[in-house]
Amino acid sequence: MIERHGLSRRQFLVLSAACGASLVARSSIPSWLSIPDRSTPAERLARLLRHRSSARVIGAAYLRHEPSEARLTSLVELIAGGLPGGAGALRSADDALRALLAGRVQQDFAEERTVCLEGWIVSRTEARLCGLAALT
Amino acid sequence: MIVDSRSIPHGSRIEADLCIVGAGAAGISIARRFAGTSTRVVVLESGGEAFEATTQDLSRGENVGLPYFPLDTARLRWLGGTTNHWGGICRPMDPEDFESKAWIPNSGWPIAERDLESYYEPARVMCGVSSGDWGLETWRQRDRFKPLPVRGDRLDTRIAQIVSPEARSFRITHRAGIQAARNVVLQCHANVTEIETNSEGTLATLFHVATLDGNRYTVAARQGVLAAGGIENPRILLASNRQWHEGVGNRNDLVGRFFLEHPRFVGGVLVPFDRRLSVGLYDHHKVGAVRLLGYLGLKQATRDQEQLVDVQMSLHPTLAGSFQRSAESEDMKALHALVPALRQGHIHQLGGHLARVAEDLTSWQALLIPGAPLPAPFPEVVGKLMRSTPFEAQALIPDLMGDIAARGYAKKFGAPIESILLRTRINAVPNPDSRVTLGDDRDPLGIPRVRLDWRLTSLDRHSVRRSLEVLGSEVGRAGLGRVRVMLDDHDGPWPEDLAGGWHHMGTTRMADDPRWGVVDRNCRVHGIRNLYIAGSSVFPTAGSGTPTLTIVALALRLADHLKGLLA
Repeated sequence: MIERHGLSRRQFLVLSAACGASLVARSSIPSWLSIPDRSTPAERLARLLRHRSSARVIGAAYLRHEPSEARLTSLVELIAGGLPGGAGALRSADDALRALLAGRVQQDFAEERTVCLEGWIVSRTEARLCGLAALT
Repeated sequence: MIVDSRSIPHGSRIEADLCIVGAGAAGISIARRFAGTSTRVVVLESGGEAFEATTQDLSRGENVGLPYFPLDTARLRWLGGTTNHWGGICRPMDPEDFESKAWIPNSGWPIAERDLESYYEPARVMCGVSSGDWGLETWRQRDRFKPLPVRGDRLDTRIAQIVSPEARSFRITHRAGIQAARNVVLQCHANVTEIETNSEGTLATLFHVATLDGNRYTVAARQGVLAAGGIENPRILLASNRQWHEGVGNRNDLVGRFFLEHPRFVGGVLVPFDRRLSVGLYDHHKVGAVRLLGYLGLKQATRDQEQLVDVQMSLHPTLAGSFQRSAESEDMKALHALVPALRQGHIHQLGGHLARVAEDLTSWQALLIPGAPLPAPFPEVVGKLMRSTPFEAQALIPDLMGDIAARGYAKKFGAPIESILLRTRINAVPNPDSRVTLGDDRDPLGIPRVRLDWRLTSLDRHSVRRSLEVLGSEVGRAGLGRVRVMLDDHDGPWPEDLAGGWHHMGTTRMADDPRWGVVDRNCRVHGIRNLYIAGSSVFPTAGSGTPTLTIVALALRLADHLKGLLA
């Protein structure tokens, strides 16, 4: 039993991380309940962004900035190419794929693989995900 | 003692060992260093012991370069000088501020930080700075606010101290010391109109003085020090052109050139994902009795690698609904004026969308990144969490974000952060075309008024942009939010809110070679055996700190040098 007044920082971090994970997961259907996914990789990646209309606005700005990438296949290849396991990573469950993409976004920033959209400093991966949203 | 020069008979000639022109931070520091010695010191101060509009009008001038403060408001002509409206922010120069950098034209001092090191401590005491500790680590242990968790190999947080308001004016803090010194005579209302030299121009023989009441007299001294500020020092030298058409000390056409400021403007905005992000360290706050202010900058290694000048980035949170309550602050008024423009023009367009998309990405990211702004929780929230059902607990998650410091911030301002304006301040590139010259108009004493042509360079602009880009990457990497850079890299106009820091530097710069500087490493005017300059006009570079502490440290060093000569 946890002492209410004696909660250690470590205990709290574990607890809050668990709560955070449940928050993240609440928007997705547990994989064991899901119907086999027949969507394309582009649709699947774009669907990970819940705020689709916002993603489309950023995506449109990115594609104006990088018109040579304005094809679904290019964007999927570029995004998958940055993930551990490459295209194989796209077969991961949603939560796992989110974690891979989040790691890649962090890595983009760490290595300044960024793009400037109307002054905003954005990671290449998040910009490309938005580009997918704009095209789907 | 303090006397009024209007009572000195017209045509008098006063003899002294040391004549100091100006009773601001530099002049008073030198005078006080001589207090109680056998040296006869005369201090000539243009103003009186209180503000007088007719005297202040002597500072009026013309701005012909980048927009700048009216010159009669940018400095003050009365006892204590510009310390009478000093903001009190202090930080000494860093050792690298003295170094020459190949990619920064005209950079480097002929002295090193170690030459000033022993003077910073007495300067701190003179200026009323509470503590001699400047390192972040010292304060990190004691400060309830923490630095942003950005990566330490590219960015660092620096700490400045703020002198308490009642201790800022040298008029208030040092008047009694001057008044009590029997060997020091401070003459108020004494305006130096000319420095006369011998026929070879190698010795300053007379300081010509005039009052606005009409009496004129001269002061002859074994040694003289100009300590009238970064605009008035070159003005007096240039206006002393009766014997030398180019003015005194100006054989290499350097007097008035290299005018430096600490240009500042809002260069970017940070939209935090966590609206309780703790940025209290970067606001004025107190640790015990010490007032502190943090700011961000690129580490020297990063600047060297990218060939940039130093840009300091201060954080100014805009807090929803809180502006009216904090409207009494001048800074907040300025920010208040900017916020609607930012909201309409910048944040609520792409920025709003970006915040929502990034929320998706960082809600995942927060679980991955050690040091991301997950949680040192509010105790009452923890208690509530422990009593709640799992479903209720989910709703408490947003309250768990942030830390105790953020709660303090919210308590102070009553609202979470909407965005954080990034105000940039540049250690600007020394530029010979940025200069003070004499204008066509004359003041009531017949002295030409000044004309200021303030200029910046493309390296200044590029350095701001890159500094913000690096900050943007670090903020993104740490999962703190996203940054927008609001300055392009082209040579277009500077932002409309461009202003200086009220710091006038560089116009009689220090260099060992007279072809590159007006004064030598001892602050002596090249070619003139007994004329010295004190104040920030001798700074070859603006530095990443604020100037006052270094002005006083240099003045005390000069005083010791003069003591050796006058012994």
